[in-house]
Amino acid sequence: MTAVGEIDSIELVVPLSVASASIVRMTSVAIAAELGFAMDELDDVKLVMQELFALSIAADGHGRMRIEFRGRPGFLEVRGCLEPSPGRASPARIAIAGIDEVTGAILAVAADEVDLAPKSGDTFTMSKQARLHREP
Amino acid sequence: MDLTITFVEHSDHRVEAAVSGDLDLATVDRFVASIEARMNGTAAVVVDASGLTFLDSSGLRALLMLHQRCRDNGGSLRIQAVQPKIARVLEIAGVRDLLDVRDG
Repeated sequence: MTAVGEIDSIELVVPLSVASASIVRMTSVAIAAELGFAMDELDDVKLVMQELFALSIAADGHGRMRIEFRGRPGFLEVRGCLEPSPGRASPARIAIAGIDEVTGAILAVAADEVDLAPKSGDTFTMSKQARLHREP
Repeated sequence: MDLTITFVEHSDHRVEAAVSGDLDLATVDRFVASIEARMNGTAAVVVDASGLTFLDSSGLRALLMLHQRCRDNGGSLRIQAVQPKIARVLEIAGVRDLLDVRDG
């Protein structure tokens, strides 16, 4: 399989439900594979996206999430935004305080950068660089 | 992928469960309920993880909870035949040394 070049933007909108988690992680893995990530790095991407999506479900199990993927060979960036659930004017907030040691360790090790709720509390971003594309 | 749990009967009443598929947010409640239903007083549990394809933090927390429950009752939880990708999750999360883990 030939890796693609730059991915300007791919968007995925899914209900914030347990059933959607496998769709999110499989989509993430497929995009990371296209960007040339190795098998163990794909496992990391899958795990991080599962954890971030699970935190989002915990914030609002009735709304939707818009997930945007960007990348270039060897680099993936993902941004997830909670959308307001029906009857709410604003989206829920991801509860950073609810992150336990296990989840915290996974996010810290398996991704290069994770930023939870950078501004309004309804967004996460994560990025990961493939080993072969790291600076020496 | 769904989770399949197959129990192996032993004359010494230990509970052995072979799990295959994903142990995650979608399957963890059923996993815990199935194990607990079989424990019925016994505190020795073996989880054969040779078919486990994915483990997330909810699955890890369930294993830690079962481990603690077995210990509280004077027994143990052993997780055997752990494949490399699952072992890596245990290591990343920093819980491998807390559990009795045998590589596959």
